[in-house]
Amino acid sequence: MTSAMPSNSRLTMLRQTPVVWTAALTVFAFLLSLFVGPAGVGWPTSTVTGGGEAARLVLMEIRLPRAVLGFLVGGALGLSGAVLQGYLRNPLAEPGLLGVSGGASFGAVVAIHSGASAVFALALPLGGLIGAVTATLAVVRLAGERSGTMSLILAGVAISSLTAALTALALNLAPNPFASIEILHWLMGSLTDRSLLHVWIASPLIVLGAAILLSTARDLDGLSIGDEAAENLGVDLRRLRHRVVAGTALSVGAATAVAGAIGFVGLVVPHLLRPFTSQEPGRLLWPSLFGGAALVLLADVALRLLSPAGDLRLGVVTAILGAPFFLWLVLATRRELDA
Amino acid sequence: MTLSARALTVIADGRTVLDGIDIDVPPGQIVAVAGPNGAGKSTLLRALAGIGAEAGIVRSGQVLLDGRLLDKLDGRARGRAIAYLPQERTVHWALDARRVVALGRLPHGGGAMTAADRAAVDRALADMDAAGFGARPVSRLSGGERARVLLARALAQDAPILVADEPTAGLDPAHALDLFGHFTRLASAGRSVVVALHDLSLARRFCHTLVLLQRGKVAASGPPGDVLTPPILADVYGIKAVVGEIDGIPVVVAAEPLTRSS
Repeated sequence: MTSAMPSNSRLTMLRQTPVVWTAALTVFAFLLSLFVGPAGVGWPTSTVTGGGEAARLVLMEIRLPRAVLGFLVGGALGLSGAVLQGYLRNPLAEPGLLGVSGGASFGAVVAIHSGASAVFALALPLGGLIGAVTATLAVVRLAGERSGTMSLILAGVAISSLTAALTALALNLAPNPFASIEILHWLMGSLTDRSLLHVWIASPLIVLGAAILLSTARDLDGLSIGDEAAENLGVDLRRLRHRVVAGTALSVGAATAVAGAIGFVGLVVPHLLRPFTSQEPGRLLWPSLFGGAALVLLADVALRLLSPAGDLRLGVVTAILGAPFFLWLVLATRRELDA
Repeated sequence: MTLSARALTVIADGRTVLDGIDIDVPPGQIVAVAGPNGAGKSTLLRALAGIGAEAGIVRSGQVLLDGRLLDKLDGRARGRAIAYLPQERTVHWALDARRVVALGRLPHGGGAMTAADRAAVDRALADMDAAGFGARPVSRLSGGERARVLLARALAQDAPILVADEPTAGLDPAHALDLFGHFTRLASAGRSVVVALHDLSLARRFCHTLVLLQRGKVAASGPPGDVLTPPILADVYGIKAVVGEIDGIPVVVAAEPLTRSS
């Protein structure tokens, strides 16, 4: 028995039902996101007693898109993190690894830099999507057709560095201070001021990508005893790779295109939930989807309460929340290795 | 089921690893594949199990399962017909032993384990003397224990054909003998086993057919007693071998290396 295994029965129950309690946590976070905010439209005024036109507007036009996007973006990040960790059999894998988020960020930054986003608001998410698709194609092309994972990681890192360098260049050459502030803010990730239109752009792509990623569960289980054994169990390595890349590109590309770069969610959430899923990579997928959604929604609520003026950015909050978890994880792993 | 290869040639990155191999694995037989390092044993086993086809590797010739091309089978049907134990003995994540063995049931069905699945897993764990550590994470097991768990995974697949690459690697002598005892039981039940093996005494004692590979070609093939002779071993391995019997048990001992003339 590992020392990390809890022995009392309540934790055993949690261990067996991670989908249920992560889903419950997500519902709670979603409702919180709908009813908490600077405008003070609480539960009773907005739904029970009617609350008038202003309250309805705040709820439907501001809070609802924000909550739905928080759910979609967090779910995409958590799920793709779990899939990539399982696929690459590396607990340090995260959604940014394949260059998708770097590409989406750069695409959006180009939209800001060129002034297109000032003319036409949707230029930003569309630029992000174009960037994500371009980066993914480049990574796939660069990695080649071999089914090994190392070439994919190397290609992803190479494209990520390239997009990071180009993004820095765009920031460097920003036409005016306002553009550079806008770029910086966008890079920090946010759900502020997103409309239902953003939801309509992102949701089909995220849902499709998530469906593809969720279909890999059994294959990921098979991969845990190596490529060759997995192949013997019926895993088509080449098809699996296509599904992992396509699912990540769609879900994370669309998420980054509407919300900017939100770090740590895809890395930390699967890590935290893995002990509750008997370490099985396939069983980790749904809980990570819900866990990621809950984390992003809660972080978004927290930043609304902490800085009602909106100067705190979501990507910063998730990183601040995520980093200590990660430090704890490093220490726990070290204890395990020392033991 | 009969597994066979006809004129099997494998070229990996421009190097010919297997060159025109013919091999037959009829039901009820244990077939050993032996030969020096790099002779192509693992490549042959992978081809027989129908896996490892990827960019940079060119295969020609045929691998047939009951006379039908193995490539035509979809992955899961192939997994139900042939269980394959690769040489790589890694287990990622701290999965417990029972869950690793249960992976062998993946080709058989959907998500939830049926009673038949659980029975197959229990049987495989017991056969490999691994039931005692079913609940322990594989990462905490010794190398030999892990090897037995991974063997149990292949056995849990319950396939008529088992292809195992050096299945005795890491096993103590008692468990190695147990394993071949189990292979013998499988063979008498009409199943077949293909093993890559370095232990020529075990091959001599337990296998029905021995295929000796040398630089990608079949150097000798037949009943182990006919193949494992000092002249053939001198030619293939470059060793002076002693072949004999102790208390009625056949032994093959590599006595000393011969100086290579070429």
